[in-house]
Amino acid sequence: MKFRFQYLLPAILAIASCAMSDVTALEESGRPAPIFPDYAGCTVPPNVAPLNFTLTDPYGEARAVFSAGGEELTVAARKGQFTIPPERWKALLEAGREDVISVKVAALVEGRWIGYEPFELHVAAEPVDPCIAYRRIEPGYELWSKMGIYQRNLEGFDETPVLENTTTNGSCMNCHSFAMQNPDRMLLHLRGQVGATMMIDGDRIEKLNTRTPETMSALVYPSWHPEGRFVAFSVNETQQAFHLVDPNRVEVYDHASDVVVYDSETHEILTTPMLHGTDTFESFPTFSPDGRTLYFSSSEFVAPMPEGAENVHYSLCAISFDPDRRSFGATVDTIYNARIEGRSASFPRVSPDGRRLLYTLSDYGGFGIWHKESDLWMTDLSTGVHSPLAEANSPDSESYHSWSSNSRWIVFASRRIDGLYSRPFIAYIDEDGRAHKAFVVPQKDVGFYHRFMYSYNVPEFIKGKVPDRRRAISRMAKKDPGIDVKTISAP
Amino acid sequence: MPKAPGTPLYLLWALPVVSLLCAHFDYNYFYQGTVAFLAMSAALWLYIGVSRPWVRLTVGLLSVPLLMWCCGSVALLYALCAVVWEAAAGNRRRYFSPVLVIEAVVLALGTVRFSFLGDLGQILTPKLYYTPGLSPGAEVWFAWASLPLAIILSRLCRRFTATSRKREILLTATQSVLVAGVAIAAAGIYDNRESYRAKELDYYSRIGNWDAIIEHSEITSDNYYQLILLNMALSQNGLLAEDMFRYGQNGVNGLFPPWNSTFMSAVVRSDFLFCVGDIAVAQEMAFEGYVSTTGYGSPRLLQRLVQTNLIFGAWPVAEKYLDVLSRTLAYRDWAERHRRFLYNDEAVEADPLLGEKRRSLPAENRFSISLVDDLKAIARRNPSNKTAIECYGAMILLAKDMNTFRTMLDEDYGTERLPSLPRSFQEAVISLYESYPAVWDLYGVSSEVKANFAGFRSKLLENRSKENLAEIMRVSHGDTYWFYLMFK
Repeated sequence: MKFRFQYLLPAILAIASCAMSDVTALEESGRPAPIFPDYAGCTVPPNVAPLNFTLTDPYGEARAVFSAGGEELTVAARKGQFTIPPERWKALLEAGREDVISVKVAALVEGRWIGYEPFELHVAAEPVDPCIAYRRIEPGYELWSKMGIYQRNLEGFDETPVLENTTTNGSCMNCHSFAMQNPDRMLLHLRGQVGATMMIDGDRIEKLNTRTPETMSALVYPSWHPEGRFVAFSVNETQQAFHLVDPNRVEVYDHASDVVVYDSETHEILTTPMLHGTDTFESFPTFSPDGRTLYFSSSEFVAPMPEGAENVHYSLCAISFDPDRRSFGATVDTIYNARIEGRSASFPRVSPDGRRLLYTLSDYGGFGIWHKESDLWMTDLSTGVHSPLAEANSPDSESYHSWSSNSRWIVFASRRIDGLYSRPFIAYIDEDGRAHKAFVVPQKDVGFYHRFMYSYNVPEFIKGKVPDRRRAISRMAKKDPGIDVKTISAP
Repeated sequence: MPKAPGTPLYLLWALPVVSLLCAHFDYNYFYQGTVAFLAMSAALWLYIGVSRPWVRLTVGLLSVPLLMWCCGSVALLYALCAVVWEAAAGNRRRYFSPVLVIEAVVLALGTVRFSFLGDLGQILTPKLYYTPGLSPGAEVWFAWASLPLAIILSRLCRRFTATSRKREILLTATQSVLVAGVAIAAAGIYDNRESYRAKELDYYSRIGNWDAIIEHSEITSDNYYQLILLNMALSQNGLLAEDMFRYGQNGVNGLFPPWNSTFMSAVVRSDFLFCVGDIAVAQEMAFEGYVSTTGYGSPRLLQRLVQTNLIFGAWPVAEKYLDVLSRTLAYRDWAERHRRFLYNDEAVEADPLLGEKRRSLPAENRFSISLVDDLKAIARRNPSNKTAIECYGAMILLAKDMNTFRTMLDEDYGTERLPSLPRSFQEAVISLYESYPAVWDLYGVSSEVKANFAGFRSKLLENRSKENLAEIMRVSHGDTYWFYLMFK
């Protein structure tokens, strides 16, 4: 044993130095590194988990040299991927903050070391919210088996359940929503055997029965008022139809829809004729950060459906809201005019600093997740200028999106990896409102997304971890009769 | 105390095995339940094998959480059996053994408290190994009851030992008869012959052995599932419109099952739709079935998803599914054989199955509103797809929608899609134009069909006042569309 230890350290050093010399004595291919996930040129937060990656071309051995400031790190590919040590990664991020991390990759291909063009990771100054929450669901149409709302720590790789349907009699659950990224104040809907809307405010949990005689359905797409008392919802009569031959497999459409506001103090639903038209579809509401404006999508009524689905084009509209008087304004402003622009805008979300409105733009309809042409667009609310998030978008579907609390990051669902399964991507929005190249939320195991048979649905940033209230929520959902909400007309 | 009952009573231990057999007849029972039971039995065997009481208790205390983590609710059964065994053996330290049960219950409570599972009913009972949401029958409990029972019996009968060779043989024979009797009785109660036949036919449909389905189908089966598979087999052999009324048809649902949001419904609909070339909706149904499968998906439906995605050229998703299948033992070869189609339109189009289906894709997109409309579009897109036009006509005839049949004749007869009419269509022409025999010739109705109709009419008139007219007509002309139209 003594003999072995005697030579162990020199041997390690020799191997390490060989590795370095291998990477420097190589043949330059002049090609970009064929990496997956595609992190090259992305802007990343200074608190993100290690961006492990792999080479998609066959190789024998491979090395990646990361350098930022005075820091340098060499990682050898093992088990088919570059696994970056978390502590060294943190040091790299710190060294490259507001600057870049340069990555040089070399691979042993057919007996020769081949060098690829270095790529850069831009490290932003602003951190991202530490967690995201999302629903994990197969991208199916009607049936489901296991599903749940989960949260992921972006600074590491931990994923924990917020609620799983194994504890709610196998019910469907959807539309989780947090008030201003606050993990202590959220809501979600349960459908099926246990059907209700669960409102969670710290340890106070309420079960709401939200179907009323005056509304066409239970409450659907939510958005919290910043003060937490109100929540805007849509009510929808939604159906789906299948394309016989089209890259967009399915069309999800409404026969009717309206927008309402729920008052959590009085358990009342407020409506106004401005949001409750029979000749229009109103949907996808969201409040401005000051709580004085309610944005929503609105389209002319189209029938019959689904034959007329291609004629549904949603405009982005806004109406004022007075939370003290619980009243709406008398006029509706149009932010994006679908009649003029010819496309369809859905899921508006205002940045917490109130400067920008982010939305999904499709050729028609409102369910962008099933539209390959759907992209993210942004409106500068001070100038009214609309522009696509060109750097963040892809040829495949980009849809549900949410803002980080500092208005510098967005997370959205994209199907760009395989065309069907939504994955959470994060993009940096700089001071000028320009989106930078998006990156997929990193996984410890690079092959995870390829194997994983669930979509990430409705990714939302949260400022911390949601406390474990699964038992309390499940018990309330299954055993409590719930509170019947009432509908009233707002003044 | 020996590990097994007294030597002459060793067959008592076959009771749990027979009990498990009963559970296996129910396809909502998970095989994981049996694996868990075997693991628990092994752990119990180890426990009993430890002679020192405190060491044995320690082994038990360690085994309970291990079993609960790996195998689920059998941990409680393990604890109960240990207590029963200690009591039956009369061991000195037996009063400590209930701590194992307490441990199991506390762990179960923790499992629910920390939301690994929804309720105690699952983690403390064999319901854990049964399709969630359904109520299992008593058979899932038999194994759980018979193991402690066997332990107790072995104790009660410990002095019941063979004193002679003759008596030993007698004891063994008696036990054998008892176990065999229980097994036969259980099979009689829980075995489902219909289910067996359905599984047999389902297997043939899965491997595309259509001849075997036709051969094994009963002519007058009341089972819709068997009828659907039979009609599918007839359509794949180009015999649907020719022979369908030779078998007992039971309306449109016997050709295409209604959607009832179940796994089985999704599987059958997907198979049928794939056969006729309605690929988009076949894919939808395959996906519905796949996502609603309890456990870890269905390789059968994953194969269908691979095929449909290859037909549509959705390569990355097809590759993802192939990679999943490649990691299975039974489907690895199939997956590897299908890799050659990835990113290769020419290979797909040259393939007899995938190429034919791709050629049947509608030229222009529209929504799938009704299957009849889809079939019509598919038949027009690919006139060589005789399955589509035959199923289109068959659905109309089964629905007794003669106006649509007339439209079909006007639009399709004499075209490449339908150059001549198969037998059932000819019979329907006679029903449609009964008073105009000259029209029959326009549609090429054969002299044999005409003669058969003459016989049908004559028989009908002859027996029209009889109460058992339907039965009389069934015997003589039950294989015709006229009989179906009038009496079904």
